[in-house]
Amino acid sequence: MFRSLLRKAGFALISYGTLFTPLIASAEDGDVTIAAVAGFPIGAIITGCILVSLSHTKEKATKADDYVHGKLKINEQSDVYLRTTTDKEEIGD
Amino acid sequence: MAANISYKCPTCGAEIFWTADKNCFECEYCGDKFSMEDMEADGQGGTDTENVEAHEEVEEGEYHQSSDGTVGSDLVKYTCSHCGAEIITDRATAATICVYCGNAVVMGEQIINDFAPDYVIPFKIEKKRVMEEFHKFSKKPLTPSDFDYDKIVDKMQGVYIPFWLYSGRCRGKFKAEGMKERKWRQGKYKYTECKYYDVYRDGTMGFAKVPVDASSKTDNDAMDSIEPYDYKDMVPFKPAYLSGFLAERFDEDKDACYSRAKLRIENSTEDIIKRSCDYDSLTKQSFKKEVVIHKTEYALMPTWLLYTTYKDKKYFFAMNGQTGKFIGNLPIDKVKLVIFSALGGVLGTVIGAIAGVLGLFA
Repeated sequence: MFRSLLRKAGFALISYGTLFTPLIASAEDGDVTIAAVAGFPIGAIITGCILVSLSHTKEKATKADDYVHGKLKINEQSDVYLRTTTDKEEIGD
Repeated sequence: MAANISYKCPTCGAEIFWTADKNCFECEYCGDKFSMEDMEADGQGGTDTENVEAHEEVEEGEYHQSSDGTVGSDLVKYTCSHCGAEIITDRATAATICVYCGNAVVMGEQIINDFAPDYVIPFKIEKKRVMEEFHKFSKKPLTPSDFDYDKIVDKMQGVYIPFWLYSGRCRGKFKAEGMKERKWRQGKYKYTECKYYDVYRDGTMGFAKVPVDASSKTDNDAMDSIEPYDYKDMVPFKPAYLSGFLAERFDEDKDACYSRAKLRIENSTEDIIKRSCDYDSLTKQSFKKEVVIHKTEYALMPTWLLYTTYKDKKYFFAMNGQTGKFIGNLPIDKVKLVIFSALGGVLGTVIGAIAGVLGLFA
């Protein structure tokens, strides 16, 4: 199943690249076309993932948060200062 | 040999079952209702461990599937104590319904001694509500139009699934690099200050009754997904709660299931310790953990299960018989997936174009 998914994803990427690369290449920097063309696969992938997740609700449990008893007891703790970094960025007009 | 333990109405003597939505025993013939205490006062509800009858072995090739719809390949024979019919069921079945006379049958030998459960959560969801919930659940955008849930939903079975409940504590030693961030503006500049710390926490967290399903026949991920169960409804086990439902006893012992509980406990402990650290970000360096289990108990939990096939592919659905939580992987119509994805892509194009016009990507 994983190989089948990889094949389909690869086919979709190749098709998308073949169709839209000339369009993107001919567009100038900041051109609306690039954003519009990039929006298509992003929108399609997000929509597909959300709809599939609605139909597939089985999930392995990896935590036991619902079964916690009492509070966390801290036996020992330490916070040792290491260093400070400071970045400065000029704000645009 | 007759399978034992069936329950009779103290008023009229007819077969009586546990009614999930009314939380009592209700006689279908005279309409009287009885609590567990009433049944025990009538001399029913418990198990006579000295007069339990054993199963008969199925000869090789004699039967290939159960007669009661239970899933399994290790089959044994019982005789219905009411009508004398032969019941073919899985070795780990603890309760079933005779397909010939419809009476509930509890296999005493599967719920005594080493197999005796400590607790049970009685069913709270009736089959009618199960059917309504499955209808809602299956109405998803990608569900194929010809997936006829009406035909298959009637096959849902109420089954008590065996669970091991682990109680104990976990001690975790957590080392990380923590970072606290501060931002401010001054004049025409934006400043970001990050302070880094070497963080160490040694903490202990307690856990009570972490459930792990103890049947090899049920899908572990599915049983995880229908959690949590509300333990306030958990009661000491009485065989009478099983009447009217199927039940399995464990076939994976507590040592075999322990690793799943251990992983969950360790992961939760790590998360809890992380949350106790007051930092904007933490980069974990190491986490040493030690789990100590001081009590392991055995309980039966209510679930509604459905095994079905659609286009030669098997599907499994489960519903928590107490809370009503429904899970499963529905079949997906690929044509609908492509169409909806393309529509999403068009929407993404429009949003991208708008963002481009507004100069967000300049």
